[in-house]
Amino acid sequence: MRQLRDNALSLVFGALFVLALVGQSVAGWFENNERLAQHGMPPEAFGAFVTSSDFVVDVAENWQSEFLQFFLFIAATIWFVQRGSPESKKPGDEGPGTDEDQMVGEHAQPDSPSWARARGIRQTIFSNSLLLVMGTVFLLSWLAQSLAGNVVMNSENAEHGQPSIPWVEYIGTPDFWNRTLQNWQSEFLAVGAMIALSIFLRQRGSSESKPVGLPHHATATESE
Amino acid sequence: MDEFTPEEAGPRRGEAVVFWSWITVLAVGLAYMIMIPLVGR
Repeated sequence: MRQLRDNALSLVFGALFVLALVGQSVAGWFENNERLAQHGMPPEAFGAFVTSSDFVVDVAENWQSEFLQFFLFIAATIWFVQRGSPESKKPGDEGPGTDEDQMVGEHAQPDSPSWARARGIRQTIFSNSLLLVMGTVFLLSWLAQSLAGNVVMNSENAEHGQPSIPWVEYIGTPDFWNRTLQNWQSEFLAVGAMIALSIFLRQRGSSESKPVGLPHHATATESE
Repeated sequence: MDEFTPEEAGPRRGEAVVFWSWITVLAVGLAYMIMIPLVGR
């Protein structure tokens, strides 16, 4: 029970992810079979659908945009501030911070991670590890979207007697950029709205909000 | 609220399990999504 409560936030989102992915796969399967029926083709088995690029391209285009969102949010909050937003550092605190603030090198605490105490490349990698991993997941899921989108487009081209196009040509097509940008615009809108709305709005009890009684001009994260 | 493990108690296995589970989900998901189109499915 204690283990569940200690890790409840991750477990809740893990469960929501699985439920939504299963829901997407079933809805996508039905939609795909409707499309096949309209073309006078036999329906596809569920197993065949979830191992097809039709399913993968829809999953990957959402993955890439979500990880781009967090990559840019993490990177932008190093250098840019928004006065009054709990998502931002306090104005004047822009930048990567001092070794003392960040508790690295000689300023590491006895229980600091060993790579925070280390010097050179290990400390640099660990100091940027969240951005590195989020950026890698973004690039790989964007690659997956482009590969799967290319397969789907070539399959549709074949149905209409059109020639296949290579991947390098696909990544310049309106299909690839429409799939990409329709997701990016919504992510940027949501992040911007979260930063701006949280200046004046509150959610009591949420770590994403300032305390209810904190003034509008104050940020939740104050410098030392 | 005493059902929680206090921070002063130090690291617990639970958070490491959570971390590596999410890394595994991401790694398996990415490998799957790259492999499917590469085999032409």
